[in-house]
Amino acid sequence: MDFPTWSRSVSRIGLIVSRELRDQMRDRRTMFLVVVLPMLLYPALGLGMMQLTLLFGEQPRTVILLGADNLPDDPVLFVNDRFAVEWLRKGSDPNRLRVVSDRTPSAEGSESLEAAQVSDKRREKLLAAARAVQQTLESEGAEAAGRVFDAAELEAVLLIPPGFRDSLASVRQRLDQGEGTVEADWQRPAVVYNKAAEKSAATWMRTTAVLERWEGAILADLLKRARLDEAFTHPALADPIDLSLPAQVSASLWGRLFPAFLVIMAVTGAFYPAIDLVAGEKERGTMETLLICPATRLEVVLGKFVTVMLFSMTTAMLNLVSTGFTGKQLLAMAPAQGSGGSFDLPPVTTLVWLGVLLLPLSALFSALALALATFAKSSKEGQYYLTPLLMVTMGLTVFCLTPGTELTPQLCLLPVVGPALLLKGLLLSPAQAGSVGVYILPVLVSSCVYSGLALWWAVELFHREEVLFREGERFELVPWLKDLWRTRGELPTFAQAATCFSLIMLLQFFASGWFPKPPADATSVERGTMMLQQVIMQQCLVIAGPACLMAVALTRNPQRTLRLRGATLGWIAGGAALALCLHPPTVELQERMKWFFGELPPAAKGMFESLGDPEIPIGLLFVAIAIAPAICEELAFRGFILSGFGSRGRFILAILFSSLMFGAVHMIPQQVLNAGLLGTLLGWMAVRSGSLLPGFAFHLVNNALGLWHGRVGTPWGEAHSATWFADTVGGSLRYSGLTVAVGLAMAVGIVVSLRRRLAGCLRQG
Amino acid sequence: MIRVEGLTKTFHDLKRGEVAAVDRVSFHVAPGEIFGLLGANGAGKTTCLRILSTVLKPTHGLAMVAGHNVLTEPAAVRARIGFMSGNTGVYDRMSAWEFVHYYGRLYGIAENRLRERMEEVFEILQMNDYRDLPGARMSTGMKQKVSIARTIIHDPPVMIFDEPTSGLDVLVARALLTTIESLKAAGKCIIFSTHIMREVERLCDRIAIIHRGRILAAGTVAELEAEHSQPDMEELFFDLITKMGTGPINGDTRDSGSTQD
Repeated sequence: MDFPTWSRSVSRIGLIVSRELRDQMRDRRTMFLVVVLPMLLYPALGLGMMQLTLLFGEQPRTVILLGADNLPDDPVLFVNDRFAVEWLRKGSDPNRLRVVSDRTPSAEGSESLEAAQVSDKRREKLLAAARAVQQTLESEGAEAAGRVFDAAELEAVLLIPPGFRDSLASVRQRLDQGEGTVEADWQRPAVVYNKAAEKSAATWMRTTAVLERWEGAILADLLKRARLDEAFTHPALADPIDLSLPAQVSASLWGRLFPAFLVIMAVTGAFYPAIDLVAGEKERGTMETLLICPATRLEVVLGKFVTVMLFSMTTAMLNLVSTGFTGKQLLAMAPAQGSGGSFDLPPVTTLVWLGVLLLPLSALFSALALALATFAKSSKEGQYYLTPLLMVTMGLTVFCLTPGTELTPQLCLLPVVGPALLLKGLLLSPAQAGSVGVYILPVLVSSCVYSGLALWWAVELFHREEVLFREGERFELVPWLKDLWRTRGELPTFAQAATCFSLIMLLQFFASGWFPKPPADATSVERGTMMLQQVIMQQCLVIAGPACLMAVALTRNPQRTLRLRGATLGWIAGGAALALCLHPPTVELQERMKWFFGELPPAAKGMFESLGDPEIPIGLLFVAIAIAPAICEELAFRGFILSGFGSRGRFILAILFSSLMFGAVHMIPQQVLNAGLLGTLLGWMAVRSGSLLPGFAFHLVNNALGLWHGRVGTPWGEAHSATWFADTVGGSLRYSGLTVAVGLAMAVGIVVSLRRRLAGCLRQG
Repeated sequence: MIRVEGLTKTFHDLKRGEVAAVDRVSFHVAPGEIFGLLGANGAGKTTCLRILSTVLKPTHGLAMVAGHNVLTEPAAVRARIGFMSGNTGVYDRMSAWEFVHYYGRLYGIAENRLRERMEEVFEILQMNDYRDLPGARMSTGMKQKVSIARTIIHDPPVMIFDEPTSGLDVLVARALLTTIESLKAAGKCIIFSTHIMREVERLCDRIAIIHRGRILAAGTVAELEAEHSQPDMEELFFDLITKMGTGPINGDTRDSGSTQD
């Protein structure tokens, strides 16, 4: 593109952005959502929640006390129809916990607790119900008692067992007399409640708080009588020393709050403008007018994308500012909650990072929202299409908020998760930003790549008439199936290939639950054998099965789709030789990437170890690890999926996509990279040769060598002294730099030779 | 100025499979001529015009507008056409002035020149009374005038009017037709699509009757009436549709494209 064209293009994008911005800013609904809502809603919501919390906290709860006469006189738990004031938390309202006891109420005291009293009729009813619960508990057990408890709508029952007072008095006496061993086998008071019922759980918590203080007094008394210090109750542990500074407490709060808000508000901010700018324009009939003007589709999409992104960022920033100040204000009003009322906002540098990370997040959400909105022909439809985006984002946000979830080399590459966790890390420990700082570049680069891909998708969709001018069609299953059969092509479509991959992933997920687990007393050999048999079945049913069935049902030429064609001996031998040459580099790559992927998950480690058992039949091992994957995975990934992705002639993109999916299906992170890289080579061979056989030969030799490396390689390395070739390091056979370099050079030579061979064939043909 | 040869556009339908919305259509339009595309609802007029305006891509055939191929030079085609349909495309939250200005700038007209041109167009179309009125508060007639202003603001050599009078009252429709006549007088190449016979008789130099994506007949109004022995356009249209509409359409070997011009 020359400068004048480029300049005109930028000018048109600017015009579209300026119009769309002006249009959105004139829309009261959008402005309310973006500006007014965050400014007013959060303070109002905060105040409302505070009021609600206070109101809910002040709701009185009722505990029924059965066996009040069995309570000791000292220390007094229950006096004048309520718990003694000394056991209540300092400053708390005694009326928050009503006590209905089976002791006859005294006249004095009830006057001062008028508000906490219940009528005699209700008192009798509650006592009767509590007694019924007690009897059912003793005669029929907890389940039946629970039904009685719930039917009577009780909140909690405190049972004081008969003889408790006497038992305690007896112990005290024996301790006073200095008897050697004093048994503590008397029956204790117990609280009966229903944890699943909110009111009951609240009553239990309040009652327990009282009882713990009362029990503490009894314990102190007993220790004193036994001439022991009170500290004997904690013989090994001192009180924990909390070193947190107020600023760190605030950082901890913001670290949990801000990333979640940033993500949710960035997607919400993109949601409505994207719908209005695409689906809304279609609905109002203004889209076609825009498409007829000299602006290209790319310029139209970019103009709308920048607008949506600006709204997404503004919404997120305003929401964060409002939440921050509202939160600070609310926490300052509740000093008892922890840090003495001082909650500082995050430092400026962290806020700058927040802005930087918002850019790729908003870009991703804006591009995705635009792309999805392109499918809709009205605003209402737009909401349907975009809701899944909102739900997935919320799921990822909840994952990021989970305590203990931290940035790892793998997580930092995930969309949404990477930026959210990076921000969480920066907010939680601004002083130690260096530890998460190493992830800044990977997070930004990967986020930009995802945003770019999403934008490319949106532009692609804008070029597709069947998407942009889609007519509303009522979905009917039978015509759709008939149409699918009637219009099936020589090769599967891109969407069918993607569906096949999704189906494989879904089946793989569910298959883990279908296959029976080995019995607990199974030997290592039995476990290994059973697992190998399941691997073979899984390869056939879960991986090859969907691909073959879809090839037969959805294409006119299943043979071409699955590339079931012969190949020259040169290609087959070339495939096998390539696997041989690339074995050392792939082993080394896997070893050297351990810092990134970490150790194998325990389950996978156990699986590989059990496969190393020399008593497992080598034939079965070879079929399960080498032959079955070579056939089944090639049929699926270089057959159906690669054919579908390449059906429009974009072979490079098809190879990249199929290799990505081939990597993803391996699930174990350590295998994903290798499988993805080798998948690229396998895809190239399949496209170039037009046959599955070279890939099959490669896959078979590669997996067989992997098997050899795991089972025979290490003892071989220990037995032979050939360090120039390989050596045993840390219990694993590692290849020397020379072997890796020679392997790579030979692999390049084979690829060049295969290319020339193909070019020669084409010339002759 | 416009040359269409064997133009075909197929769509995929779940129940009927591939359906030709436009089927081997051919015609040409010269500068200073109004070519009428006459057909019932769903005949394929709008699809044909959408292809000419580069919004849709043809499945087969050739369409040249002002010397540029719609398939390979869509940007050049879009810069040289003005397209107006019954759906005005006026934004609710933009005034008439802002709307025309926005499209004028998108067409690459310099700011000073654009303002002069807008004053001129607003004066011709008598739109100064509501130049600051937002689209949401405009009547259908006002919107249609704004749409005309948007169509002619860059003074394109080719203009396409797709059922521009639909939903308009008699007064506004009459004013619109007068405007189109004046554009013809200015030497513009015009395609005018409608299903209203009187408009065709008044405006069009030549017409093509399109049905189920195919051109059934083409020529001047007088030629067609004489050829088919019909007293007026309405009878002629009805006669052709009745005769041809029941015949085989898909798979018919007759080349309708050869019936024009």
